[in-house]
Amino acid sequence: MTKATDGDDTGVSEESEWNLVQQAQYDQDGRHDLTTTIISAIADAEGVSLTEVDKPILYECVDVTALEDAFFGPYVEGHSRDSVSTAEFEYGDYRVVIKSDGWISVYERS
Amino acid sequence: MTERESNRDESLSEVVSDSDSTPAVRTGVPEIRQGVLELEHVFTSLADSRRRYLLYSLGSENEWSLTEVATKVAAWEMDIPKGEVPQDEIEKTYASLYHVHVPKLVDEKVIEFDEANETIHPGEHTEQVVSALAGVGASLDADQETHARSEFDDEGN
Repeated sequence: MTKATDGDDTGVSEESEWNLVQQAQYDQDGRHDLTTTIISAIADAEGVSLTEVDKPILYECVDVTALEDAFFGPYVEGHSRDSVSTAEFEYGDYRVVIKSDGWISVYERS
Repeated sequence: MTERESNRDESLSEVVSDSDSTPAVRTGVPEIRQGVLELEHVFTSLADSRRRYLLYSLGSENEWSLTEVATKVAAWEMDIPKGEVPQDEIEKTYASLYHVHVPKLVDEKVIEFDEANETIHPGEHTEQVVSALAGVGASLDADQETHARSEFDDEGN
């Protein structure tokens, strides 16, 4: 499930008990895509290698390509989109929050 | 609007609305059958450069391990020989293919993925999509993909 939110800093509501376990910065000018950055962050959170993160398949959790286009897509009339938006989804036992400034945060239920 | 333009509009709407036959759209470009416009899986599959690279690979073999494909894609993107691609770059490319592009192509029935062996095989629509890709390559020239294409041709023999 993906939920677009705006306003609060983390995108995770305060009443839910989630602990931040990993953060990563997506470089939209780099060779690697948002998917790789998300899976890297999950791998770091789990303390395993990138290729060991094989379930669930991210494609079955969220349309990452759509998120990538929405947040980091082509420049608008020569300018990047200035407002910061947030999207969050659950990946296995983790909650992943993507901000349009490129920060990816991985939360674990406390 | 001149009379001539108005006639042209009518003939175009006729073409678009007539779904029983497969008339050509007359715009001065080569004839295009209307059915082609509806081949969503072709355009979706080819919309991403990594998926196009993956499909070039499929054109020359019936089975690829996902690691091999990740290595080839990384080599193309970095413009270095396959043997020189660092392991972490292979793994990062692998993650992208495994988590998004392969399942997408499986969804579109363009490839089949054997999860146990992590191998890719051609699917129901492979030939159609690869043909479309070859057709684009025949009429357009994009630097990176020409590079990929030359390797594809080399290995196809």
